[in-house]
Amino acid sequence: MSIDPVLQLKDLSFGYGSAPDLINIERFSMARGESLFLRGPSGSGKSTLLGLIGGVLTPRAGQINLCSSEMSAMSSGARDQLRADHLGIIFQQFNLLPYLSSLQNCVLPCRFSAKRRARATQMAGGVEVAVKELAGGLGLTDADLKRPVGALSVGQQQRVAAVRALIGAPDLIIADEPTSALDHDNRGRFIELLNQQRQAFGSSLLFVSHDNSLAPHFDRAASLAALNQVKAM
Amino acid sequence: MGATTINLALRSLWARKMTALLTIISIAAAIFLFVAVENLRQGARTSFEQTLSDTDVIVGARSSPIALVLYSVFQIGDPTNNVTWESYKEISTRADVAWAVPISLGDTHKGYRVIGTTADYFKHYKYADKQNLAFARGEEFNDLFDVVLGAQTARELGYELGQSLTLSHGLGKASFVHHDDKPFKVTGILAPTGTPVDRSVIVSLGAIEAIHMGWQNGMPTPMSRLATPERLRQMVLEPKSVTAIFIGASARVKTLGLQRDLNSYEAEPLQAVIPGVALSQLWNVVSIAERALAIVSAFVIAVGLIGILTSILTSLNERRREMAILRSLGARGRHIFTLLVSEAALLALIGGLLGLTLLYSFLWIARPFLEVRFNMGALQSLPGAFDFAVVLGVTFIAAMLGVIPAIIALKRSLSDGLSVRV
Repeated sequence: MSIDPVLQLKDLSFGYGSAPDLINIERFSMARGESLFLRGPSGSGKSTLLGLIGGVLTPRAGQINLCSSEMSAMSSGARDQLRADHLGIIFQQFNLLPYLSSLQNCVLPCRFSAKRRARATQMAGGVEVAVKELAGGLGLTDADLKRPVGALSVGQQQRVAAVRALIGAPDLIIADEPTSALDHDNRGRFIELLNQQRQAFGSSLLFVSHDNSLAPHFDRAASLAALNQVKAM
Repeated sequence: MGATTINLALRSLWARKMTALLTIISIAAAIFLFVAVENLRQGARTSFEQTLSDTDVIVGARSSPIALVLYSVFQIGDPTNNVTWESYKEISTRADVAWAVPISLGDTHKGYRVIGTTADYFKHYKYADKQNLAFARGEEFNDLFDVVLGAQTARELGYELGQSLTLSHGLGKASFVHHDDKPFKVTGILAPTGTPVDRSVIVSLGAIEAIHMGWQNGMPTPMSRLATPERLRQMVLEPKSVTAIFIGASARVKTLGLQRDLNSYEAEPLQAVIPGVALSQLWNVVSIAERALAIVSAFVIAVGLIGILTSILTSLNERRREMAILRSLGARGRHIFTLLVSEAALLALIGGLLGLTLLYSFLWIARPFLEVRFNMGALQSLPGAFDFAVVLGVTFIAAMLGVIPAIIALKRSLSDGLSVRV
C-alpha cells in the first residue's frame, strides 16, 4: 500500500434518517494509481457507499479522506467541488444526458471543474481535443461523438461515459456496475480499454460489481460484504 | 457557470418540447390578454379623455358637472334646463372669450341624437390632439333643412348624400311625435372620430327653431301647419335658448377666471366646467369595469404561472436521473437550483415574448380595421417599456415560483445520492 492513498475510509457509519446503520466500515484504503475490484451484490449498500465517497451523503460518524482532503470537515459545497475536481463516475447504464450530444456530455465535467479543464487543456491543448483523443483510445470515432446519445448502442454509450469520467484526469474513477448492460465479449474489452486509458492518466479505479468473473482484470479485489460490518437483512 | 446552466436548461427544455411548448403557449396567451387589455385600457382612456379637445369651458344650466359633460359631450342623459339666448350673446362677446359655439339638444332621428348648432361647430369642435372634424363626403349645412351625419349614423342607417330624413321630438328611442312635415336632406357625412360625434345628426340652430315653430309643451299646435318649409326659409330664426355652450378662452390663462365668472353669472344660474377635469372625474366613475377587466387578465397570468409550476413539478420525477447525473459530474446544489429556476424563468420569458409578438402582429394586421371602426389610433404599434416590464415581471415571478421545484429537486438529489434510480 502506498504512503499516499487516494481514498481512505475510517470508522465510517451511515444510515438514512433515524433508520439503523446501512454502512459501517472500520478501515478501507486505496493507493494512488491502483485498480480495485469491489464485489458487492445488489442491496449490499454500494450505492450508499458511492454517495458517501462522492460527498453527496453525509456520514453519521467517521472519516472519508479523498486525495488528502478530509470530507467530514467540509461544507457540502466544498465536497461538491472536491467531487468535481477528483472523481470520475460511471453508472450502470443511462449515464448520458439525452438532450446533449456525446461530445457535449463529455465536456461537462470540465465545465464544473476548473482543475480538470486546466489538466485537459494542458494534456491535449484543449478540452474538445482531449475528448476526441480519449474517445479514439476507447474506440469511438469523431462521428460517434457528434451523434445524438439515443442513436448510440449501449456499448458505445458506456464508452462515452468512460470518456466523460476520464476527461481532465481525475484522481479516482468510480465505476458502478458499468458492464452489467453489456454482453460478455464487450465487458472484458470495455474494462481493458478503461484500464489502459486510466493508467495513462495515473487515475485510480474503484470498480464495483456483483460479477466475480471480472475480478482478474484488476490489481486487487475486495468484498463489500466483508468490509461492511452491518449485515444485509 | 451561469451561462452553462441556462444553456443546459434550454437544452433540457428542448428535449421536452411538447410540454414546454404548451406551457409557453399558456403564458403567451396570458401575456397577450393582459397586455391587450392594458393597451385597450390606456387607449380607451386616452380616447375618452380626448373626446373633446381645445374647448376650455362648457357652460350649461346648473346641475352637476358630470351631468353637463354627459349630455353635452357624450349625448347621455337629459339636460335639466337651458341657457337663454341673451346669455349666449353676452358670453360670446366677452373679451376673454375667443369663440363660443352653442348647441341645442332635444330631438332625435331613429334614436340618433340631433345637435342643433352653428357652422362654427365644424371649426371649433376638436378631438384627440386638437384634430378638427373632417368631412368624408359632402360639406356642412347651407340650407335651413340641410343635415350633416356622423360617420356611425351614416354607416348604420345606410344613408348617403342626398338622403331625405325627418327628425323626431324628444330624446327617447321610440318617439311618437315626429317632425315629418319638415324633411331634411343629407349634405355632408363626417369622417370617423371615435367620439360621440360619430353617432350624431347635426343641423343648424335655425332648423331646430324651425321644426318647433308653432309648437307648445312639446306638441304641435294647429299653428305649426302654417310654418311650411318655404315660409320658414324666409324668416330670421333665432332660438330663445340653447342647451349648452362650448367656449374657447382668448388665452389659456384666462380659463379659470372665466369659469369663476360664469359660475357666478348674475342674469341666470349657470354652470361652467373645464372639460379635462370633468372628463377625468367621469373616467374614474366608468373605469370600474375596466379595472375589473384588468384584474381578470391578471388572474389569467396567475393561472399561466401556476401552469409553469405544475409542468416543472410533474417533470421532476422523470428527471431524477438527470439530476443524479449532473450531481455526479460535479454539479453543486446551486447548479441544480439555477437549472430549475432558470427553466421556470425561461418558460415565462419565451412565453411572454411570444405573447407580445403575437399581440403586436395581430394589431399590425388588424390596425386598419380597428382604427376605422373604434378610433383606436391611440393604440401603440410597437411594444413599449410597460409591455417589457410586464414580461420581465412575470419572468421574475416565475423564477420565484421555480424555487419550489428547485428546493424539492435539491432535497431529493441529496437523499438519492449519486445512484440513478430507474
